[in-house]
Amino acid sequence: MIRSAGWILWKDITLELRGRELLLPAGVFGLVIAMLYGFAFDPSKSGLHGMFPGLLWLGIFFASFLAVGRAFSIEADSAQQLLLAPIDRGALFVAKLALNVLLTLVLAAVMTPAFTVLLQTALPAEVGTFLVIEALGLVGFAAAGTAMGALAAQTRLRELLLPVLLLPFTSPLLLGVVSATSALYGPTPAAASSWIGLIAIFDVIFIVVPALLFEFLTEV
Amino acid sequence: MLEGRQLRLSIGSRAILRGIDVSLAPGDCLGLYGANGAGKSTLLSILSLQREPSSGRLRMFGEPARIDDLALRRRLGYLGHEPGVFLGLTGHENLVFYGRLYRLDRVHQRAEEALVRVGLSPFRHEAVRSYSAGMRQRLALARATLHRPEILLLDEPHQSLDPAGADLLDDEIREHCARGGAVIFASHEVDRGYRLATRLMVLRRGRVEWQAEQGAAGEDEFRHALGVALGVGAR
Amino acid sequence: MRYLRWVILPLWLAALYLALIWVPDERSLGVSYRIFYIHMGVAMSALIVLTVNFVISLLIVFMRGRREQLDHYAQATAEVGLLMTTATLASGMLWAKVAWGAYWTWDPRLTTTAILWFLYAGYLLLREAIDQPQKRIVYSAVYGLIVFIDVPIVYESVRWWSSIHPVVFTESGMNITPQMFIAVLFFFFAMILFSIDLIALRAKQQALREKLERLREKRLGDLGY
Repeated sequence: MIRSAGWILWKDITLELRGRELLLPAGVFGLVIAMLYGFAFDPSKSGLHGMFPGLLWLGIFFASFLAVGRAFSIEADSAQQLLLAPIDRGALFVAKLALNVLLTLVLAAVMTPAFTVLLQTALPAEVGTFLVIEALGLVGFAAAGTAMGALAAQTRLRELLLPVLLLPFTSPLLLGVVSATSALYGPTPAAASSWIGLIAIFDVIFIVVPALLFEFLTEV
Repeated sequence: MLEGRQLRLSIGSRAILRGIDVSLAPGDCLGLYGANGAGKSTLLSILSLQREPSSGRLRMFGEPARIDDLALRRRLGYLGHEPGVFLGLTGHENLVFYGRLYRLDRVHQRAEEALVRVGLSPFRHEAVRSYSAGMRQRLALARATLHRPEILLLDEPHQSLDPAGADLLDDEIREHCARGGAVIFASHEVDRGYRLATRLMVLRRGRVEWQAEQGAAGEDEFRHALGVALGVGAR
Repeated sequence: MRYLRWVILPLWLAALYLALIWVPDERSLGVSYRIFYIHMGVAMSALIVLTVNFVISLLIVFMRGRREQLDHYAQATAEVGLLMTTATLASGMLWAKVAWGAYWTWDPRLTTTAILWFLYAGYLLLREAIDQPQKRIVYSAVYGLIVFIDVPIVYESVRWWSSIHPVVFTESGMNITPQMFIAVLFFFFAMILFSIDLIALRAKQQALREKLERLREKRLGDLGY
């Protein structure tokens, strides 16, 4: 199963490196969001800094959303053939999860510096903790996105349905990452740790539960 | 090799298949005809284990065919309306990728051989995006037969092929049957299909309208039955 | 089931009488707090109906037989659950305007309930968007199992996090007077019986629709189409 997943991931990465069909539009969209934030809220006002964690994470979620939604759709015309191949559907899930984690990590790596520059703020002093929050938060988003993307891909509406299915689920995650990031900017950065715990729990739930239930989606 | 009994399929209120009996023995080449919407593609999607029938029995190689039987999938080859190849990969990479998923040994060598067979060898390291529709279809044929399936299911395989490509496909099919494999293909190509098939079946609105062994029925009779099913010869 | 409706109407009238006339005004909130009885009744019904939806989804996913019939109830319970959640939110917002001065606050109970609404709206949209019946049954059941996560969270939210939302059931007993409890009970039974009636009606309608389709099929088949 791991081997098949590896080959599917290899195929997707090769396609992405050649076509840049996922990261390029999503990345540019992410930067556009940063610019629009700059227009909509005056970055020179100090009030914006309190909102920075929320703005950053919403931006990352929306941009990631574009990439994650496509992960299953790139199979749209050939999924038929892929599913005809003698592979476990678990392998497909693992491959898409890995792809989505990679995509969101790359997006965040581009967007985080861009947001700090354009919104005229700085990263928190505890950069290490901040990176842990980002990584855990993105794994959670990618996991939920993969699970809901698999469901959405089976519908007539495909990616159109994804926001409706995915975003309500990610609300506790958003709360977790924004609160944790805000804590890092606040007087007591240690307060972030309990939020990091919440994010980790979300990650575990959204990796384990879909992995268990994915089995049942192979029946039909 | 394959036996379907009273296969039915309804989607919502629409009955697509209304009880079809179909069987394939080694060496059989069954040609499936009928108007658009007669149920040809749907029947092929059931026989290729993409979906379960609403009711009916399907057996393959003497055992009930289960949609999640991965070993069984290895013995089937399917070519649908979509070529099912990735445009961003080269022809060679596409075949290697599918070869890996099917756990074939010597994938690179097999991919090379398959590319030579379908006449795409000179273009093997070019991205499929640059291929013409006919070339993509040839590559799709190579993909569908790469793992040496015993039963080959082809949905309008002649589509977008030039005469040379279509001849190549027909040779491939004949060779497959001569080796003891079975083929079922859906087509609108009357002459080509008539020469190729050992058995002909005409579907109309999800039912078998007419069928005959090759030789038992003359071409005129086949044309007439097809005309009736298509609604052109009916009085 | 047919006679259920004859019970529901008097029960509703009795509940309305108890909640609007029989129980005295509340000290600080005055007459406005009476919306509490409706609010409590629909909220409890929502959580119970959605729990039933979860149980049905479990049965569909883990047991093989009678999926079609179970699915009719899965759809009916999700729809009625969503209806009750909508009523909960609407009545809660009206009451909040009077009691807290705003229609909406981002209180844990309110937030989790809003999420609940979106999750089950998504569930119904998902059902709507899958054409293949077998696929729809299993996929929506799997989704139903996942979205249910929020139901216990809604229930526990006022206990886990500091919330301004009042709590009725606590470990040390109930936070309301016996008189209020009687009115709550009446409203609860009126709403839950109403929900059951709606669910039964909706599931029956689904079953009839399918039967009609089968008959239509058969008739078309007989006519040679």
